[in-house]
Amino acid sequence: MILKRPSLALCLFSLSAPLAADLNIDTPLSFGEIVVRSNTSASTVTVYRNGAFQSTNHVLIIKPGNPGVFTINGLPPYTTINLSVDLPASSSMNFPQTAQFTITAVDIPSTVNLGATGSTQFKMGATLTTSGNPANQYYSGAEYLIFLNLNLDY
Amino acid sequence: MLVLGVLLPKQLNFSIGSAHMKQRNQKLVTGLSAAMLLMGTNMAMAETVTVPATVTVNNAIDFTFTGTLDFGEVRGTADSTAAECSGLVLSPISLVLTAAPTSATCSSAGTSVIQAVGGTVARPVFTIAGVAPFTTLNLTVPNTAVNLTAATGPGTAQFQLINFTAQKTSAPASAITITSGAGTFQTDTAGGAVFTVGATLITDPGTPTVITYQDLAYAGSFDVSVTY
Repeated sequence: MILKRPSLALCLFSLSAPLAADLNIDTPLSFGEIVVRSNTSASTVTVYRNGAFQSTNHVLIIKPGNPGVFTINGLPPYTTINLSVDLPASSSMNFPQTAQFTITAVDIPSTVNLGATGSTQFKMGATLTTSGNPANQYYSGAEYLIFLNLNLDY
Repeated sequence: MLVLGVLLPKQLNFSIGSAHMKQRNQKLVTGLSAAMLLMGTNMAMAETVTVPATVTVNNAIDFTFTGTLDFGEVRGTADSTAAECSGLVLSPISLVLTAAPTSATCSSAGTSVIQAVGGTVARPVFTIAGVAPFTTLNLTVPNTAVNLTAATGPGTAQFQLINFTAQKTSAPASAITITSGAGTFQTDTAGGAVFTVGATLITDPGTPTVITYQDLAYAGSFDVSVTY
């Protein structure tokens, strides 16, 4: 009887611990390899969820990018998750005198359901925009990294 | 919340009517915990995860060339009067030299003469790779005369290159229209292009004091640039 209470409390504690979703990055979102031939005005490159790509203004696509592919699991089956991204999100590369890129839009499903397996995969496309600042024309020949905050509400 | 409403009153009623306090309390705790657990599973949760995205900037153009612009061997004599000169045209699509028509630079031949007599005529071949497919590129060739000189002393006649031309030889092949030294062309599906450059070789259009040419190689250089 003395041992019964602590064991019950431990059991309840472990059962009542909140579940957390696990997000696996199957394929990182990439905008590919591009040319920025001028930064006198804002230009964009877009990768869509379906893999299509497009550029505007002064951005030329050398090698197309790909949408990000993510898997969510770790939650009970049939859990519905609302997806959203904090925008805008900008790079902050420290290349000398470089202008920065900003992700101004994303192409993601607004909700996903984990189904019977408790796991689901979704894709994310996005639009990358140059600063369009004539006073800061230069984009380095290098890789730029942008971090996106992806919100999972369930 | 619906489950909580059922369990909580039942456990409270049971504890009030029983004489065994320890058993009552334990069952009360069990009921409350179960209710809280069920509450917890219905609570809205939110997480934020940070995911990376990348882009690679490559503004460089892979631009190379082979060969030279070579008119082979010529026989030539200049004229000491300004703008009286003769020329040979090396087009970007043929290695056959042809007589140049009169132009603003050479308004008449005067006593000047230039003839192809042999040697190996050649054109430089320029290659572009690694550029965005179907991109329009800007080509710039000299818009002013380029001197071809040899160490023959002051006042002696020299040659010049004028009227540069260009031809895209990779598919789809086409002449590149040059206006004031500038033209445009488009890359192919692989982001590449090949083109050649031609020009007109003329005798000295100035006023040389010595109008004969020496049996020497007359050489010079010029710039060809490609930009987005």
